[in-house]
This record gives sequence, C-alpha cells and structure tokens, in this order.
Amino acid sequence: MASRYDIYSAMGLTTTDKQTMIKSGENAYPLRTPFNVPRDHSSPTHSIPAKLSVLIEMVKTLLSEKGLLRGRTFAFVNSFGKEVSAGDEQLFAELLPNGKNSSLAEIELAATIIFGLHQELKNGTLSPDRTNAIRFDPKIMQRKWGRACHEEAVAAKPLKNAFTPNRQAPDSIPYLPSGYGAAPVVAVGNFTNTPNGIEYKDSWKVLDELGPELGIPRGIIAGARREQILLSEG
Amino acid sequence: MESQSQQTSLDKVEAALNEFWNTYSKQLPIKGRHTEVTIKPRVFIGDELNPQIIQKIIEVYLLKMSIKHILSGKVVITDSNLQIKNDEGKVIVEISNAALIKKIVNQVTVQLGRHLAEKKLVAPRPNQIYCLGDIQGALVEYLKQSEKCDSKNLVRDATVLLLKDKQLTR
Repeated sequence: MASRYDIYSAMGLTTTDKQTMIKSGENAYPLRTPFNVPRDHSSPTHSIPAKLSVLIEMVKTLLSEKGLLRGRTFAFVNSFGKEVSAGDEQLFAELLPNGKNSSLAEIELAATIIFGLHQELKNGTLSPDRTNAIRFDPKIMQRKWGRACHEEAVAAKPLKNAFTPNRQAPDSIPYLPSGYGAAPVVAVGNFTNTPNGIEYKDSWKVLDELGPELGIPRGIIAGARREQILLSEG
Repeated sequence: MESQSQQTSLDKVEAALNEFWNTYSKQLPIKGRHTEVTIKPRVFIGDELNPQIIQKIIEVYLLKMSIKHILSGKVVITDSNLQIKNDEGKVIVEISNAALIKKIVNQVTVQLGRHLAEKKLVAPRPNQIYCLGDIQGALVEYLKQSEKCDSKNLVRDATVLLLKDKQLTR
C-alpha cells in the first residue's frame, strides 16, 4: 500500500507540506469520512442524485480497471440474487437503502465502502469468484477503510499504464475465505449490448469513422489499430 | 516524461481520447476536504475501446453533424432508429435511444430550417431557430425537389419523421 508520503505526493502537496503533515501525525488529518460533502443543498451540483451517479461511475471505473468489463457489461445483484439495473438509482439500494432520501452520512459511508472495494480489488485481496461475482461485506469494508479512504481517494484516479492489452481478471488470487458472503453481491454478467440504446459491432471502426471529424487524426487511429492487433496476436 | 517521438500510436490515441473526454464530458469532480477526485473512464478495455468513450464520441458526432451528413447519407433518421453509415453505406452505429433521437430530430429541424432559409424557401429568422411549424410547407416542397434531383431519400426520411412528430398530430 502507498505510504502517506506517496499519497501526499499524489495529492500535489509540496515537500514542506508533506513533511508538516507527516510530522503532525494523524491528528492533522481528523477524518472520519472520505468526503466532506458540502452541506449546501441549494447547489444542484451537490445534490444527492448527482452523488449517486458519481458513485455508479466509480464502480464502473474500478471494474474497468480490473479488466472485468472486457467484452462484458456488468450487473449488480442484491443479496437475494435479484439483478438491479446498472442505470437505475436503486443500484445502490443495498448501500443506500433510503435512495434519494439518504443522508449525507449514508452517502459518505457508501463512498467509503466503494473506495474500500476499489482498494481491495487493486490490492488483489478481493477478487471475483468462479461465477465472476465479487462478494464483500460493507461493514467490514467500512471498518477497514473508514479512516484511510479519504487519503486513498486520490488513488481512484486512473492508474497510468496500469493497463496492458488482453489483460484478464486474475483467477489465481484466492477468494476471501469467510466473512464476505452474506453481503451485497456485485456480479459480472454476460455482455448483451451497449447500454443506453447505442449499438455498434466494432469500437475501432466507430473511432476510425467518426474520430477524424472530431479532431482525432486518422493516421494515429490507423497506427494504433495496427499496434493493438499486433499486441493481441502476441 | 515520455517524449513525443517515443510515444506509440496507442499512446497518442489514448492521449487524444483523454483530451476529448476532458473537453466534452460534463462529469463533476467529487470534492473532498483536501482534494478532488475526478473519475475518468479507461480508454481501452481489453482489445476494445471503452463503451463510455465510444458513446460520447457518437453523441458528440451527432450533435456536431450538419445537414450535409443527412444529405450525403452518413446519418439516416427513421421513426424508430437512427443510423450512422460509413462512406460505403455500411451501418456502423445504430441508435434506438429515444431521448437521443428526439434531441437529434430537434437539431435536424433547426438545421433543415437554416438550409431552407439559405435556399430562400422559408423566411429567415433573426435567431436562426426554426420549429416544425415554420418549415413544414417548405420542407414538403423541398422534399419534392430533392426527389427530382436524386439527392437520396434522406431529407425525406427526416421529413417523414418530422411529419410523424407529435407536434403535427396535435
């Protein structure tokens, strides 16, 4: 796991700031929750539904980063095995039982859990089982990550060069043995189609045809396509 | 830092798409006490491009399209879906998203209005915003002309769609 120094570096703090933070210890960082969600309810940008959609994006991002979305879409399944629509705000019904009426504290808790999930996936201490389901206990996750996740929040940014083509979800990492079974399940289902009523067969073809009109040079698209084919052929 | 010459084409495409996402994505950062977290989609997932990015490319392409795209047959609007074709006429994207289609139809209506105003078939409006009622008669006339001059059936497709629009049936 990254040291506090690394985290502060990633946050863009100066050397002096970092030393001050580290010297002053944890008291300089009296954080109980990952986010200090603004209390200004009049601002539409800070509305609860907006936060929910951000949380959904975060989960999509973390699943993408693990390569779990390769050729597939994902579905969320609650603890009763019922699939919850990914585009639905009820997606977080398990984490936010009160939906839009969730309190800010509840949203912060959900964010904590998601950051914990993100870190567990990144560290490899939590991985999909044979059914491609990721099982986790929100309470354990919150307890484990509650203090640290604000600092780790910065790690939610995409990791440069972390991706290599053809990367698959790791199968060899052991599934957590106990304590993670009874909680909500995040499952990865079969790819059916692109969500939101937009369908295409070949994403590269779409980029090749539409990209140049949006300012992406045709030459580099063609070159990238060739490189990608070479990489996938090994 | 990697120099420009050492960058592979994949790197360049990734950088270009990241810039594209930054320009057109309206996602707000999560504001923490000491930092902000911005969520960005990964550019590549396996061998394919991230569907989120492709979706954004398609949306931006449609919002930037001109009447020429319709006249040339690259964008075909029917009452049930919207298709984007390549130069050979092969469908590369099919859209059934009702909200997006409605948005594009409204855009097409305005663009058709401007097109018709250029051809002096409708009276030009100062703000260049046209609704169906403004251009309906001229559109039908234009449709007849376009059939004669063999400009494919795309304006007709757009017209058919517009004529089926709820505004007309009310």
